Amino acid sequence: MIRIAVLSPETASAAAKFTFVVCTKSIGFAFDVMMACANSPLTFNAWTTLIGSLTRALLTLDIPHFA
Amino acid sequence: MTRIAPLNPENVPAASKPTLDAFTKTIGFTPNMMAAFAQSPIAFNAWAALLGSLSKALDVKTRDSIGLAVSEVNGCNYCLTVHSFTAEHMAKLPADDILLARKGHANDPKRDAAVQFARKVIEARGHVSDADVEAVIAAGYTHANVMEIVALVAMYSLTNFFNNVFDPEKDFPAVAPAGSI
Repeated sequence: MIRIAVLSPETASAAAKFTFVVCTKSIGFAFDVMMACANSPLTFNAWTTLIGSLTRALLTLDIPHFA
Repeated sequence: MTRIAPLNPENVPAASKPTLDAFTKTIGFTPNMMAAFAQSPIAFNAWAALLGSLSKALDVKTRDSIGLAVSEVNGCNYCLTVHSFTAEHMAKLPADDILLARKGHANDPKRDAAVQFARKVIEARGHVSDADVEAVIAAGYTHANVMEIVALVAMYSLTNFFNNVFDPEKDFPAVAPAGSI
């Protein structure tokens, strides 16, 4: 059973809209977890910031492969 | 036995320094956990940004109570010392509420529902029942608040896991270890 409404960029609040549009653009479509998470702009923005920060993790491990 | 040496100030990576300095200023000293965590500016700054964002969620008493409940379930004794200290001095939680929070409860009925839900989320790794969700909503929380509770559980689990893995030397006032209350 679905426990929460999924939102679209049109129905998301102003605080979640920018992140929503950026995520949709980079992935190519809006997936359900993202549309549900946008119910809490605070959580949505915190989560996407965390993902953004950790995309740089372990990058240095790739260096030997290219050396 | 601790598995990681806290950094000396001169060895702190430049990218971690502003964040570490800010924590030192707020707390009044540099906790061993942070001096260790600072070795990875990426992980340290990512966690600090998450902590900053979620400090706007719910209220300080509920956040700290969730931190205590999650740390008890995850068996993180370092975090229990930190959250017991912040719960007393920053959230101004009475001693009996600090113990109740570790058991997944609160004296305040609304906060009690949030802490109970948080405990279920960490115990069940998110696989809660419809009734669990309905109970926290019935207590007066919105779906957005429920998401914030889940996010807080994840954030506190991050530091629980970090401290369980590296076991920094305890530098906050001692408390009863996890599982003993």
